[in-house]
Amino acid sequence: MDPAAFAPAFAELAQRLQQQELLADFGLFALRGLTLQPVLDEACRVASRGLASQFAKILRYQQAEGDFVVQAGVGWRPGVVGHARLGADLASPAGYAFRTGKPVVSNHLGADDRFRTPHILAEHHIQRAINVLIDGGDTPAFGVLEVDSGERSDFESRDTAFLQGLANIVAAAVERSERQDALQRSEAMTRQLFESSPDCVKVLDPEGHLQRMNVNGLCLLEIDDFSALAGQPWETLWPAAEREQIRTIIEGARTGISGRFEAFCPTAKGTPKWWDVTVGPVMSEGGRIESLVSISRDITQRRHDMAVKDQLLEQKDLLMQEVHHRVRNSLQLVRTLLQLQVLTITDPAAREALQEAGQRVMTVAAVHKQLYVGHSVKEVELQPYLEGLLADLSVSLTDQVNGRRITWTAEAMQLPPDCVTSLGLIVAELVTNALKYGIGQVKVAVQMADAAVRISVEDEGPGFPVDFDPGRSHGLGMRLVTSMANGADGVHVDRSGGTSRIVVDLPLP
Amino acid sequence: MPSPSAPCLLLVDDDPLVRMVLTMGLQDKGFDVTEAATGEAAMMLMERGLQPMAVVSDIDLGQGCNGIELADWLADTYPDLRVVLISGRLRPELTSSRNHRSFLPKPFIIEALVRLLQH
Repeated sequence: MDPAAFAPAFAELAQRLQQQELLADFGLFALRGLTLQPVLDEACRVASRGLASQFAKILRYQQAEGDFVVQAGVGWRPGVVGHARLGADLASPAGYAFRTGKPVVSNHLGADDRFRTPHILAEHHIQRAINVLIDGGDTPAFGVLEVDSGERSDFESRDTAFLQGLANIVAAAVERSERQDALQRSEAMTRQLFESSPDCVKVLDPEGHLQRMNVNGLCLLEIDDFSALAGQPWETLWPAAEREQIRTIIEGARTGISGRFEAFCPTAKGTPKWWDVTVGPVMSEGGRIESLVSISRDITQRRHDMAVKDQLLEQKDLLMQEVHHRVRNSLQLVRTLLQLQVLTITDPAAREALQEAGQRVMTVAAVHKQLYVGHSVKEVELQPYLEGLLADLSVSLTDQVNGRRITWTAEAMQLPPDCVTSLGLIVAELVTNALKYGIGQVKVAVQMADAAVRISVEDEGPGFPVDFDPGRSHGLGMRLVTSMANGADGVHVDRSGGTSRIVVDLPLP
Repeated sequence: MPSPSAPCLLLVDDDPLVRMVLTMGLQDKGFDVTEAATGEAAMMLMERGLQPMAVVSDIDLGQGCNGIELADWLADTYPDLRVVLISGRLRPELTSSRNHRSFLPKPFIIEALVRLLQH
């Protein structure tokens, strides 16, 4: 055979071998590339050489605009690469390749009914074009790699294999670049968070050694030079008394458990400070604990404010105690003076009036006592008040009691102090009357009745006289009772049980 | 007024008015009352030989020792002596602290105090 007959096959073989070599070299270049643009530029040079064409370009798809921009290229006039934009619709060869994912070979652009000839190609007298997709993997496709020619013989379908191989390497480089960008953005955000925190943020290794500290942390701890502390155990920053606690919380964080505590620790320059400290693990994607993060908030001012508040509360309590003490001393004075006055008077009516006045002082004092004992100055527990009041009455009216029992029942309730004072005066008046004029056991009962507190006092007498009308009584005690019950309608005699029973409804405020 | 053989009481209260009227009230009930304005004055009277049947003392006595400290000193020095603590403050936890010691919150009627002293 004529050796010349093999010449085209040898030429073809040589071209494919060169393409393989170019791909291998480019693969290495792309792997070593730290940034994307040089990889794209080199891809265009390799495409141009591999297909022996003057023009090559990479068109990056612009999502927002819906078109391509010439991201890299060789052979083009100045002003095209980096600026020129082309349509990405199906009527352009590049758009078709991008949208269908299929390589496009067009050897007669001007006569190809499928496509229009883009303006830039016409300007450069391009007759033939070959386009392949630069895929995006998990993300939208990056764009198209295109080789153009106005001189060479037709592109062949086998050329697409070389060009697609090249585009796939570019796609891998794009993906790696995007991941790096995302990582850098994430790191930048983390760094920004780290530095913008107003608290003292420290990164520790899993053993609790200091790795990094944010600038605000250095200021808060009054540390001029972190390098002297880097690598030191974190616990060495703390007073000896706190170190065991630090070790425990680091141990917990190392097992994945976050911890929190409040403790005192002076700064590097000795300024006393209190800290609210949180320590937690930082996990890798594989679930391994890579480091620990400690966030210490300066709570010195809060602690100070709390101490001041406690001191003020203590002072308030002391002041209240003093006021109560003074009031009760004054009540003692008045009560004893009235008692002494009784002994100097012989007129029985006057003596009785003074004794009643003394009893009313004790009734008022009993309310004061319950206000002091209780937790609230706005409400008084009725039951202990009533119990204390009747015990005092029994002592002060010893002569009248003379062995008779005074019993009481009352619903558990809390009432405003003014209401309780009125209730106490009513009970004291009615019990005094029962002891004076009645017979046998005296029963006191207090219960709620609609919008009033119902007070009944009963003794074992035969009942009040038929003409007894408590609302028209001229005695001070019954006048007080009627007045506090909001008039005569609030006081009535109960004759239903055959005993002496009087019922008073004290309106609630 | 108390008779020459009237039972003797030592009354300790830093408020002169309250001390005065309580003294009068107790005298009317037949007691011979010796007054002291402070815990230290009361201790001095006791050390000089006063032998009351009971001591009635306010708890808050201003500066110096308070009624509790006086009661403790009396319990150590005169274990059989009855002590009644009175106060405008309510301190129920004090009532059962030592033997021969009672507590009466102010205000009280003289009869209540007398009853405690005679108990």
